[in-house]
Parts: sequence; C-alpha cells; structure tokens
Amino acid sequence: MLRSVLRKDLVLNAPQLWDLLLWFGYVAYVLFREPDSVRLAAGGSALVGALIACTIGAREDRLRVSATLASLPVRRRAIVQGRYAVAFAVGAAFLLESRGAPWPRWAAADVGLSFAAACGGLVAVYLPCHSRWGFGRGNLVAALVLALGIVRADAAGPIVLSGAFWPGGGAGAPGLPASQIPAGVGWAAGCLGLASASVLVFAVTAVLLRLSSEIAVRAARGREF
Amino acid sequence: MSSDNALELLGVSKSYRGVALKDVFTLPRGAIGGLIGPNGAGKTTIVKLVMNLVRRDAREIRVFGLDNRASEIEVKSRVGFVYDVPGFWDYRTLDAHRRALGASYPRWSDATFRRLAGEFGLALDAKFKSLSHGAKTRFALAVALSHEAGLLIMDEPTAGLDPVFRRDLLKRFSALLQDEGKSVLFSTHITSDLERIADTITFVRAGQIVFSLTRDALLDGWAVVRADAKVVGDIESRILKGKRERAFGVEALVSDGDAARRAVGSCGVVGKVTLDDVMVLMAGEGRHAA
Repeated sequence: MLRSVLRKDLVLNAPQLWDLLLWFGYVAYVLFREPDSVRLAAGGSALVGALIACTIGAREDRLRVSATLASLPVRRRAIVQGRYAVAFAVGAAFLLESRGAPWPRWAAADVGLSFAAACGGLVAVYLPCHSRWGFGRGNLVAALVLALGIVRADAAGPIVLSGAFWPGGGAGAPGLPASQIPAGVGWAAGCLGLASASVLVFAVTAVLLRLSSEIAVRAARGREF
Repeated sequence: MSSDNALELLGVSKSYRGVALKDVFTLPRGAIGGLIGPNGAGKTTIVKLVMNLVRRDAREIRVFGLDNRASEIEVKSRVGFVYDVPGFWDYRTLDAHRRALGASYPRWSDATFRRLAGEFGLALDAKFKSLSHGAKTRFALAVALSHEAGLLIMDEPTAGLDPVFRRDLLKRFSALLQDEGKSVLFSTHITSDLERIADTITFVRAGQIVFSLTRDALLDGWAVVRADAKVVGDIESRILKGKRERAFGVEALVSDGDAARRAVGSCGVVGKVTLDDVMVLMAGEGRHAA
C-alpha cells in the first residue's frame, strides 16, 4: 500500500518539483565555495525535505486531490507514512547532490547523523501539523512550534542566520550561532565514540518519528474533506 | 447481515455544518438511486459519509454488507466515485493518472480504462488541466468504472454540463449499468436527470431523509392539487406533503393522488407530479410538515 502511495508521488507529483533543481544547483555552488559548511548542509537538507513533503500535500489540497486520495482504497496511515518517506528521500537527495565539497567529507558518518537528526526533528513537527490542518493552518502552526523550539535551538537557522549558503558566508561568521543539532551530534560522537553516538541518535530519532507519525496518522484519520 | 443491498445507512447521525442525518436509507443491488433536495440539505454529506470523508457520529453505514469504516479498504475498492468537482493532478496526463491510480486498486483493468477513455473521447496524452469540465467528469467516470466497482457514487456529476451532453452522459450511465448490473447513488438537484434514469428517489431536507420511494411509486402515486385554500384544507393532513400560495389559490403536493381526487372532486384540478414539483413544494416557500 505504501508502495502505491510512493508510486503516486513519483508519477504525479515529482515531475512538478523542477524548482528543486535551482536549489540543488545553488547549494552545490555555495558548498563548492565554502566546503566547511558541510554540516550545516545537513540541517538545510532536512528542512528542504520536510518542506517538499508539505509542498506535495499543499499542491494536492489546492487541486482538491486530497479528497480523491482519501477515497482510494489506501489507508490514511500509508499516505502519511509516504509523506515521511518522501521527506527523508528528498532531503537525502538534496544532501548528496550538494557534493561540491570533497566526497570523503560527505561520506562521513557525523554528516549523515546530523542529517538524520535534523530531518527527524523537522518532519516530526511539520507533518503532524500538516496532516491535521492542511497546508495553510498546518504550516502556520508548525512554523510557530519551530520558531519557539527548533529554530531557537538553531537546527535550521544557520541557513539564514549565518549566511552559510551565501557566497562568502559560513558557519564561522562572527557573532552568529552554530547549528545546535549538527554540533550536538559532533559533540556526542566526540564524547561517546561514533558507534555509540550513532545508536543514540538513531534511537532518539526513531522514537521521535514514531511518536510523530502516530500523531500524524491520528490527525489524518480525523481530517474531514 | 444481508448484502442484497448495495448500500445501507442505518440511523446514521452526523453533526456537520448544521446537518444531522438520522434516518435509514437503503439502495438495492443493481438499482440507480437518486438523492434530491435543496442546496445544503445534506446530499453531499451523505456521499461523504459513505466514502468516509467525514466521520459519522453514530450507527452504521454498510456497503455490500460491509461496515464502511471497519472494512474501509475493501469497501473503497468496490466503490467508484465521481465528485462534483473532479480532483486530479492538473499538469499530469491521463495516462500518468492511469499508472498511479491503477496501482491503488486490486481489480484495476488497464484494458477497461483504455476502452472507456476511447468511448468517452479522452486522449490519454492530454493533461488533466486541458480538459473541459465535461471531459473531466468523463475521465472521473472512466476511472470509477475501471476497477470493477459494484457501486458508483456520484455527487452532482451533471452539474455545469450542457443539456445535450448531460443527456448523452446519462444514456451512457444507463447503458453501462444495464450491461454490468452496477448500483448507483446519484446526488443532483437537476431533477429531470433522475426522472430519466433513477429507480428510487430519496428526498433530503435539512439533514433529514423525508422519503425514499421508487420512481414509479412517486411519479404515479403522488399528485399536485390546484384549488382554493378551503378545498385544499379538506385534504387529509396525512397525505398533504407541501403547499404554496399561488395567484389562483393554493398548489399542494399529496402522496395519494386517488384520495386527493376523491377529496377535491370537481372543485380543483389534480395533476401528475414531477420531481420539480416535489422539490419546490417540499423544499420551497410555504413548506408544510411532511
């Protein structure tokens, strides 16, 4: 069932996301200029993944496709889980595509962990809100929650705050905070060792996503069209 | 639970924008059921309740004997739907829709879809956005009929279509249904459509199912009385379903034409009823308790 949902996204939604190429090209260029910002790219990629998953939902709401989807013999749980899978897949594609930096650095485990943690956090907030309230109110609520919590911890903020993706900018811009999630992952890897830190990060992310997806599924079941 | 009926709404209640449906309604297998009523009466809510797009508050809805929530996937795989505004992906071709939507249905038939698309004059390489409203409805119908659905649920499918095309579409509905023995629930406020093809007529008003009768029982048994107010006042209140003031006196809808003829005698005119009369006299001004 999840496969038919992903197939639907691949056939009907993915071709409309050409605008992503602009982002990909831009980030590749910036990272080529500023290879040290690779960790920040993990947070940025996570944000893009979450936003794209919501954008797909928004398009479907606008085209009145959501009611059609809800009328197909597909569980709403599968539709919601499809959103999570799309968020991670797009985020990962975004991260890997931006490999203007030297490849070995991109293959580093802490970068992957940073991405997993940031993506987990962002989609965990975004998707339940979107499932319950649709694009408009859902994104507003998610943005408020992020503004209160995650942005305060600067998970995705460096993209904007530190100008990491601007030519000549970077994480080290004076007076601006570093990304807390990637920094936290780096700190955990330093203290516990990479293997233990990986287990910890994946466990926390898995619990977070599990809780989030349950909330999102309940929200989606409660949604009326 | 008997599954002689394609659809059963058993004392369903739904608080939704002021609508509370609390009645029993059944649609036999192989029948075309028409839902009529004024705007906001609850027709679309009934359709949404069956498709589980809105949550019911109580009792049950059964499709082919299956609870529409407990067996949601099985029910939806056996139901085809056509909504008043067909919602599909604007910039994708009909063929892309075929590939994506077909994967969701266990009994989807590409051959049937292609045949119907041909019959309906749909080019598979056309983008959904480029279709006219009528073609969008035909596409929705082709999708609905391509997965061996036993029940078709259509919410205002002919709204916004010109009369010639509407007549053609209804003819196609009838032919398809006669050939394949499907059941249809058809919501509309274009009553002439139902007079042509419906087997049963269900009238919904203010969230209540006022009556559900066969078309023949309604059109042959009911009548419209035109007489002055005193004569209409002599008609049994049991059979008086609605009335309104007119320049000549009163126009009244009665559920027993023969009884009305006896009551009115030569003091008024008792004529055949149309679904328009039913709509106007039961839902319009001068409404009378049914």
